[in-house]
Amino acid sequence: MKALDKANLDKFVELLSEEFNVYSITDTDFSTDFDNNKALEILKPIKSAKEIVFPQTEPLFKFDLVGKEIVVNEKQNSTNLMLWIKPCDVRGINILKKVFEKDVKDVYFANKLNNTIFVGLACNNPSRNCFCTSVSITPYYKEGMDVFATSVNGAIIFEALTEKGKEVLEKVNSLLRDATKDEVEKAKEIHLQAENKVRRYNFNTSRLTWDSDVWRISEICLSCGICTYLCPTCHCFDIIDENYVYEGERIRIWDSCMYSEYTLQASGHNPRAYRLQRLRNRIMHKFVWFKEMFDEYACTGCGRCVSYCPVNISLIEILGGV
Amino acid sequence: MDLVEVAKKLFDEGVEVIIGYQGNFNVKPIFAKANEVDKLTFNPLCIYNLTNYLTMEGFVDKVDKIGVVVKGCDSKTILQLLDENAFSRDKIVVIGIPCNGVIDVNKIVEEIGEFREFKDNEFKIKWEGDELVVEVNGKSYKFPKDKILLEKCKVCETPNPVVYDVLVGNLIQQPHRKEEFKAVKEIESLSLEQRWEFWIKEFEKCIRCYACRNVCPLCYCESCVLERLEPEFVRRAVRLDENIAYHLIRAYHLANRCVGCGECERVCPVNLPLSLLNKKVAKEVKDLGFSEFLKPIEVGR
Amino acid sequence: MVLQLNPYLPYPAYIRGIRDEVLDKRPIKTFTIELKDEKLMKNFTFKPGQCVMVGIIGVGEAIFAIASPPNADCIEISVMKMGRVTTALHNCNVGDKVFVRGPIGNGFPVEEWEGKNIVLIAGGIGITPLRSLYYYICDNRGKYGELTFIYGARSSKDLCFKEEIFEIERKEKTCHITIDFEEEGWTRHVGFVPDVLMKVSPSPKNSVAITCGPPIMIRYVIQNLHKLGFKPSQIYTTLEKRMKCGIGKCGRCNIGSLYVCKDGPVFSYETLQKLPEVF
Ligand SMILES: Cc1cc2nc3c(=O)[nH]c(=O)nc-3n(C[C@H](O)[C@H](O)[C@H](O)COP(=O)(O)OP(=O)(O)OC[C@H]3O[C@@H](n4cnc5c(N)ncnc54)[C@H](O)[C@@H]3O)c2cc1C
Ligand code: SF4
Ligand code: SF4
Ligand code: SF4
Ligand code: SF4
Ligand code: SF4
Ligand code: FES
Repeated sequence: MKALDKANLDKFVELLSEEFNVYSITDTDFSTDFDNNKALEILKPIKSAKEIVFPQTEPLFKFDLVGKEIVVNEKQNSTNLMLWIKPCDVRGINILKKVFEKDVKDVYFANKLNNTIFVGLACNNPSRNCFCTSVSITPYYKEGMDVFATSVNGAIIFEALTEKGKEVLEKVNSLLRDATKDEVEKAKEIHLQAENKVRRYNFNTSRLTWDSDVWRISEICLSCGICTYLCPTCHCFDIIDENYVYEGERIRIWDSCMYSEYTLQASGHNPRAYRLQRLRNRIMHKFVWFKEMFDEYACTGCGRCVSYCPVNISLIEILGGV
Repeated sequence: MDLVEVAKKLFDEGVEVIIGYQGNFNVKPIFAKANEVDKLTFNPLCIYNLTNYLTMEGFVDKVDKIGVVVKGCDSKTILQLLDENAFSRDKIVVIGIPCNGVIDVNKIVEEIGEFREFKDNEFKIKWEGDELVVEVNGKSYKFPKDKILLEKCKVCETPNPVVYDVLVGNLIQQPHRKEEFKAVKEIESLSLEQRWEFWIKEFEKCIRCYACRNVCPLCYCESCVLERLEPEFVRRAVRLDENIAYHLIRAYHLANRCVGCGECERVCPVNLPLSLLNKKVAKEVKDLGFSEFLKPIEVGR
Repeated sequence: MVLQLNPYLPYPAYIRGIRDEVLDKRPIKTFTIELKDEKLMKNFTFKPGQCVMVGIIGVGEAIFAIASPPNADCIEISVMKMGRVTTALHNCNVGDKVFVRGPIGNGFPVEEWEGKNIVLIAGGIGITPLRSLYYYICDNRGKYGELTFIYGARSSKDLCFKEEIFEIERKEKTCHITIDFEEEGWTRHVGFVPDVLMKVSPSPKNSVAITCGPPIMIRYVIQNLHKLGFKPSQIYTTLEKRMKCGIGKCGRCNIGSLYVCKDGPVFSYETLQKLPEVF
């Protein structure tokens, strides 16, 4: 295993930026405009990492409004590198991958995913609303990452997990040294400490029945959609044509199953007209139906929906965790 | 009489539901039925403006008589909504609570610095003069008011409800605070470019979840212009230009209506300074010679 | 059928013909659409019951059941004017460009039904997928048993494919056409489709019943089929939800863990029974 002394952090980022679009953590989101030191400290941004592979607004193709023709321009993207992405956000992308690759492959998602390298970082300081260990991952879960890093005192130690990951480490090799045995041991210790710090709940998904009382909490829901926009696994979208003078674009754009317009049919009929129906759909999709389809929960335990719900509706409570 | 006693009486008098607060630490709105009357609480964490629910999903039409708990700021919404004929006055019973100010729960957690959620029964919080006293499992913490209070409360001109049917607690006799548009003036003192830069940076962050609209008690149009496709006022694409369009529409639709409850700013997941924008419009309106919010004050019935 | 590599990219096509079906405040027109690329058009195979996304540049896409039989040299859809896309389609002329994505959905399990008697029960514009199915069965008559056809609309003016329906009536032994209320000069059935179904009373023995129409009609038809002795596994219907992607990604058409665009729109009542809140 390799190690980087934190004193070399700026150079490390600089070197990576020569070859990749480096995105890292800011308070709000993953951005190319980040502070090297802060990015290492912030646990996770308000918005999840999903927008790197599934942008909020994504052009599908352009069209010429005069000739009424579609114009496909296959532009070659340079490779993105997600620096210090957390286990739960990578997990979110793994979950999205299942959806976007099932049966019919979504090429937009697949291209972006192919074009992205994940340099993940174990969480040393899980926050109050983290509950990843209750949905079967840990603060040091590595699946889907290319490089896995742990911050140990004055250094960051790296483990390359894929070919792409090896190439990345090769690129910055001049800054790296071998990790000491102590550091490797310490990293393991940190992992376990963090794992123990994350609050663990015994979720009881059997209470998520159609007529359950738990849905009554929807009385106070604002249908604001925050929980879905911030969630790393929510993937509802809309497709619309946007026109300018001579040309336009068909775009896809995040949507939310918490909005009543979402299922409104042209006839005026709406199968999910009420907040109860919508909240139930969101939670049951994540914890019952997704489980039926893919044998896992569509939740990473990141706690964003719990932290940012403006009226304090808690998934943890709904699942009987408290 | 305390809140629960008042509520019991109202239930006896035929109120079907009371929209109030529940919980001590884990505070949430509740649509309390008579058998849940004991759950109703009020403490400095009761931040939500509950009047928003009155115009949601046709709620007022489904129930004969609704009680709603309001603080000073929230009560202004009721006046505004009545002014707009959003519902009829005799549908609702306004339970007014004179308010010493509210706080963001995250601030408390930050200050106490403990890594856990507190149970409602091990947590107590109250104002004692100019201090906030928090008791957790017997341990007590004190915070000076100025340090912990929400910004909007620092300039609140109406700690006492401006409209109510029943009052819980005593009216607050305190020197009148005054909104002097300090933050707005600060921005206005910047150069045009600086101002532009400031707002661009903010609008760029907006993810157009429209939570600020959904939480606003005064955004209750049945068909919101933002969802209309023809004519399309704002494109759906989330980009700076469309974001600006959205925020201008929102701000202007609320001009002279916004009561400054601050809910929009509170809920914004990416922390846009929406109150600043609202206040800017309010100040503009005031400078034009309209009062930004000055309606006859109606006390009781 | 080879799927486009990019499932969101539609095939260029044009409107070859337009026919008025119903003139009303919710008018219905049938469009004959042909893909620009002849080879693609030849290879555009589908099953009755499958759908297509038809789009107009700058307006958007909407999903429609394919009304033409699989072996036709074109794609026919009948469109009721409802909103943005459907209105734009109604404003189109012959020769105009449209864009097509598909086929979408599962279609009717026609192979499973071989050797069985077929009961088709349609209401209003719900006839479109059943028209495709009917012609498919005609082309493969030897493989199926007896055919019963019941079709109803609010009034004689609201009947789709009027000429063809009367033609079918002449050809088939058991074809019943009904309108909801009496009209001068109307000599066929009068009454709602579910009631006509009871009058016709097809035997459930070795039969499947396929029904398509407004949700309220479907509900009563299913009830009555029960009464006639049809088991849930012998009843099929199609569902309608708001749709966008048509490939099981965007999430809006789900009923529980099923996506109507991908796992449907055709479902057996046996499946639907297990689902909550189907309509
Ligand atoms: C499986 C399936 C098969 C179908 N088969 C057929 C078929 O064979 N024939 C057929 O006619 N239909 C069929 N439909 C229905 C058809 O897809 C809808 O009628 C169509 O999608 C309506 O699209 P639109 O763009 O015209 O309406 P839209 O404009 O997209 O309407 C969508 C929503 O937007 C709202 N809206 C509409 N216009 C406006 C406006 N101007 N301003 C603001 N809001 C507006 C409406 O209230 C509606 O809720 C089928 C649907 C499904 C799911
Ligand atoms: S449901 Fe909530 S906790 Fe789970 S992944 Fe989504 S935002 Fe995170
Ligand atoms: S939920 Fe787990 S993986 Fe995510 S930030 Fe918290 S500790 Fe890390
Ligand atoms: S964030 Fe909370 S209030 Fe908003 S839609 Fe989600 S559950 Fe409802
Ligand atoms: S709540 Fe914030 S992010 Fe959401 S639309 Fe309003 S300003 Fe934008
Ligand atoms: S705009 Fe904001 S501050 Fe004004 S009334 Fe609405 S939610 Fe309250
Ligand atoms: S239409 Fe998108 S999932 Fe069915």
